[in-house]
Amino acid sequence: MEQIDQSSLCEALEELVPAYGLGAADADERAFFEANLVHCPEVAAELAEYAAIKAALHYSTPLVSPPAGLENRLMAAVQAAPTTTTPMLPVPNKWTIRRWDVRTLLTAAAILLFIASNAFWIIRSIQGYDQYQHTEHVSSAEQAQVLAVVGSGRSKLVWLNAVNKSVPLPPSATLTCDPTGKIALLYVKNFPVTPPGKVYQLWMRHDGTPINIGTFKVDTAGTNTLIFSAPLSINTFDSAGITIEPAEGSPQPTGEAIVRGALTY
Amino acid sequence: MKTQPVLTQYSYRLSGLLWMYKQCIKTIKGHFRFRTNGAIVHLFCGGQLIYTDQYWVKLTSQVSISDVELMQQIAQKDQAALSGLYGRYGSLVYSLALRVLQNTQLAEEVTQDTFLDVWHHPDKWDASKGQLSSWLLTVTRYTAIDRLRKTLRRPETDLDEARTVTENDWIHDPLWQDGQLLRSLLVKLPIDQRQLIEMAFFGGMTHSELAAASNLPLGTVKTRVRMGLQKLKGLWQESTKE
Repeated sequence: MEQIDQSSLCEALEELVPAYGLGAADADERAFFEANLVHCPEVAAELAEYAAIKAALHYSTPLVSPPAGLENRLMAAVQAAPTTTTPMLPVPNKWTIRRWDVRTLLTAAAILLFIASNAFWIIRSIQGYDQYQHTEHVSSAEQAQVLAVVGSGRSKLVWLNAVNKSVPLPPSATLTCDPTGKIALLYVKNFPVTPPGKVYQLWMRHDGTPINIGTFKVDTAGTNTLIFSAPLSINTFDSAGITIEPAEGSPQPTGEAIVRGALTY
Repeated sequence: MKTQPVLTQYSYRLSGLLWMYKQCIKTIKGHFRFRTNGAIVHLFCGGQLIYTDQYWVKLTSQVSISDVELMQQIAQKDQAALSGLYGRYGSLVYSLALRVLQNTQLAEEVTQDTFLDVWHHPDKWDASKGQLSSWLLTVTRYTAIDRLRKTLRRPETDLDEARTVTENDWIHDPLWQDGQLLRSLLVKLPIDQRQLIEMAFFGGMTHSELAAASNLPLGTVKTRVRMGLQKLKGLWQESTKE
């Protein structure tokens, strides 16, 4: 019953996501969307796509030359204004966050709350890299980064598709990330629950070598959403895949890939 | 073309380029840019060719003054840097303001307000959150929509008669290319869907405001916006995967 309710809820959000992404949703629709988005990670990934369209719309106007005298008027206004130097960049500031995109930040906050309350974001390291070792403990900044990325317009969505497509509900995964960064959001669905003593392990291939990113499990519905930090910029990896490995993970993939895909943007 | 001999004394290393850049924006107050054609480099200031050399080895955009450096100079109240910023982004900001307001006078006011805001508060831009042009355009759009809501003046500019730039420095910029691609895709949408999407984005209108402005039932507006954007996303994905 709960599954049906959540399915209906997510369908409602999917109908709303285009308008929300563009900023055309009314206040009550925005409130509904933001309150329930946490239950539908797939919609969050779709939101990233509409955010990219919204970002591109800023650049969609024909380029028009400003009047010749405008620069002079600007400089005259500058000279008339009192001069005080400003602290060096970058300095985070509340106004910047508010003006950057209130709705995106609200959405990010909603997802963040969900992440914090469900702890589903944890992806565990097995290789002992320093950057992985602290992932479980100090990744709140990374969470904020990736969630900001979702709505920034710079994010890309990459699908990892099922290797075995003959099953009724083929597993799939999406990576949402700014390819120039190291932080990404992984969402998996239709993954069979792993047997005891086994976990899923995410790999990203760099120059032909599979790099361990971390291990995870899925919930009873076969889904999970995780944030991870790659050792290098995402766009330096060629492909990604997920295998089943022993609970402690493996230094190299030993099992058949469940999903995989090229990292093209 | 007139060549300024003093500039040729400088190498085309970083220091020489920076010197020429400062000379350009401080003394001529022009927009500085460079173009390469194979091993030949052409430097322009205020639209005039000021330097050319065939022994150019390699010049990449990294030796140009970066946005971060420009904003740091603005934070130190370097007026030439603001002029440089205006030269780089003035057309982009003005074009968006004009698209939202469809009134040249209001668009000029918004453009000036946007750059004055940068001058007084350059720390508002956080380079880690996105490119400077994206932030400038976001601020411009918000400012223009605010102005649109407050003003009683009606659109008066025929955008077809505005001085459209046929050749610009943005033509190779991926963000600009994405925007222009999107513009070409928008015209593939049914007109009733496209108009509502444009009113929502450039007019800052929500579903209810769109329904009131267009005299359409709210449900019809929602359906058209949703279908239009879904179709636009499909076209966008199709085009960007090619």
